[in-house]
Amino acid sequence: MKPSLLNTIILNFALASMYAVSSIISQQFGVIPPGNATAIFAPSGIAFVAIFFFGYKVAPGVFLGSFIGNNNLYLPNFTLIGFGVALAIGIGASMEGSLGVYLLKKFGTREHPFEQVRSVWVFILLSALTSCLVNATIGSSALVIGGFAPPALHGDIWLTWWLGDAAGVVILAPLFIIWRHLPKPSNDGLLVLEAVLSFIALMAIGTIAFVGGFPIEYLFIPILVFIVLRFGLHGATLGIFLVAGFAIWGAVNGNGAFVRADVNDSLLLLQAFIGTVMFTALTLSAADKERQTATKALAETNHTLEKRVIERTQDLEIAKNEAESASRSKTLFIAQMSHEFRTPLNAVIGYSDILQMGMLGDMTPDQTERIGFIKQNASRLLGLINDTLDIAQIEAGKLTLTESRVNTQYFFDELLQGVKSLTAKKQITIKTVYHQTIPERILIDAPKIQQIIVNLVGNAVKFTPEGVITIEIGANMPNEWFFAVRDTGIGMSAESVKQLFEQYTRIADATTKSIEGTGLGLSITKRLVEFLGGTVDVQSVLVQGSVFTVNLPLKPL
Amino acid sequence: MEKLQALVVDDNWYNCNIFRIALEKAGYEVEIAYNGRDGLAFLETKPYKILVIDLQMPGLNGIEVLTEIKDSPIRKKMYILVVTANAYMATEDLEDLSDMVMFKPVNIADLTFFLERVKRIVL
Repeated sequence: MKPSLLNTIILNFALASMYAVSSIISQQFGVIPPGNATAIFAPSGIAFVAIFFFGYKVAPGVFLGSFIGNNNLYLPNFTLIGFGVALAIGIGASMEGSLGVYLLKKFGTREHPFEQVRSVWVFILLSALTSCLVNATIGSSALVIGGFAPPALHGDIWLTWWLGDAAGVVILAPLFIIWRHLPKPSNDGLLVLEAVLSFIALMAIGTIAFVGGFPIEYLFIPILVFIVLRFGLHGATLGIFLVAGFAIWGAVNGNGAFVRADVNDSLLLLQAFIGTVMFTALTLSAADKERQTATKALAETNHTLEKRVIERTQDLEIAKNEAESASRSKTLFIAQMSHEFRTPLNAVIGYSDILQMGMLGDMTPDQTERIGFIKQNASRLLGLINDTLDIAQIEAGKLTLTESRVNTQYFFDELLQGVKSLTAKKQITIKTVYHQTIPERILIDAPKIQQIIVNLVGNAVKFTPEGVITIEIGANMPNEWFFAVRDTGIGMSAESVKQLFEQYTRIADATTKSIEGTGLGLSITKRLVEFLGGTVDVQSVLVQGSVFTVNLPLKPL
Repeated sequence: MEKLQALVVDDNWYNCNIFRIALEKAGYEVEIAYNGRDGLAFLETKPYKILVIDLQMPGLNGIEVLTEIKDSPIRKKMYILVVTANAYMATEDLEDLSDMVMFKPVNIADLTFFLERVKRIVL
């Protein structure tokens, strides 16, 4: 024989004996005098719990237990009818338990049926109230048909049977299903004290209401609510069990508010009370459990989210450090390159100066001129290096704003005085026009404005063989000032204007081939202007000349 | 009349040579150290009137040499000209350490002007 089959058989017999014994006990102690109505039929709860835990394979045990429990129908005076009625009741009992479990598992929550409100209601409405209609109907009918009960009492028996079975299921099933896992032992002394005090309170109220007969049953409700919220499902099921126990004890002994002359009245009052307490406590504990689960899930989500945020922040921090380190090394590289370029240039220009100044003896005019050429080319190389490093500096984001207040006219006069040296050897006049609109003093980044103007005027000189370069300074709007550099040079086509400010592009055609430069000057100019929050525009007509206009924000002094 | 003493500290031979020519032309007696440590040793030996010093040098660099002599009595009687090829150098840091800063490539006319002025003040 397979161990599993043996186990099943043992289980069935164990269940049968438990069912039979509890059935006899229920009929002995749960009966409300003077009739034989059973207020709470414990075996229906035991059957439900057994089938819930072990499955439908223990249904025969329920049948057997019920059949043995009803032996008074066929023993000691055996009749075939009595035997048949007991068989019918047994079949009804096993069907009832199986149906109850089936409905709960189908419409409720399989593993933890009392942790969701929906599942609790499925349990009460379907597993208890609906399923218990089965044996109430089969059993009461069998009794009447078998002649064990008068047909006139059929309705009463049916009702008692139904509510008694349902009470057995609703009181015992949650208790056993929840308490199969013991609650976690608590180290919290206060919690233990609360548990002890609240159960003492239940006992006190129970004693006063059902032993003393002073009707304060409703005081159970606040205590139960407290128990439910503090001790969850374990507290709730145990509390309900205690309250139901007191109520039944009172009813059986003729004490308490539920005792009426008519047995059926007492029974209905008692069952309504137990039903109300049970429904309230189970629903509340399920709702609280749902809330706790949701809170826990939320906390977990928050935790995950926080963790992810921290991780992302760390990633960003790393990326930022890498970028900063790259920027630092780029700046360091620029400084290093500057140093490396200038050191040999210092020798070239230095020796040119020494020779040209006659420090090493007189030179012939031819030699002096050639050394002048060396120096010019070295200076041009220096200019190219400066431009290249300027652009690199700008790209590394190393520009800083150093603003100061200047007297507008004084600043530009001095600046343009220096710029005039650019026009050496050319027939070019530089004119300055101040519009009345320009404030007497302005707040500017003087070194950058200087670099922009030197670039633009240098550019104008470069592309103007002879003529006039006009620098206009003014303000057209309350919050904007401008300066414009106008030349009478070779000008540009619209096509050329478009690509003018792009880095490393030079307008290459027959007219400009002889003019040298990196093509970085205007790109640097544009970047500087943009850094200062301004714009640079260019208008140009071939052969007539160009106008570069720089618009800058006029800052309050 | 005894000549004014000048010390050039630079790791580049050509640059040292250029400064030597300009200094000698201006009437100084010139000695050359090719690194910071030698430069410091030279400074101990005699009272130089002028020190021309590069910043970026292997081993002891210009700033370190200048910091070393900052509070010494040598410093008080000597004019210090810093010559650097680092165009992005923040000159404020050098204000306490030197009397003049020139960026390479140095204009020899400017250099000569400075040397003549020092000579006029000292003599």
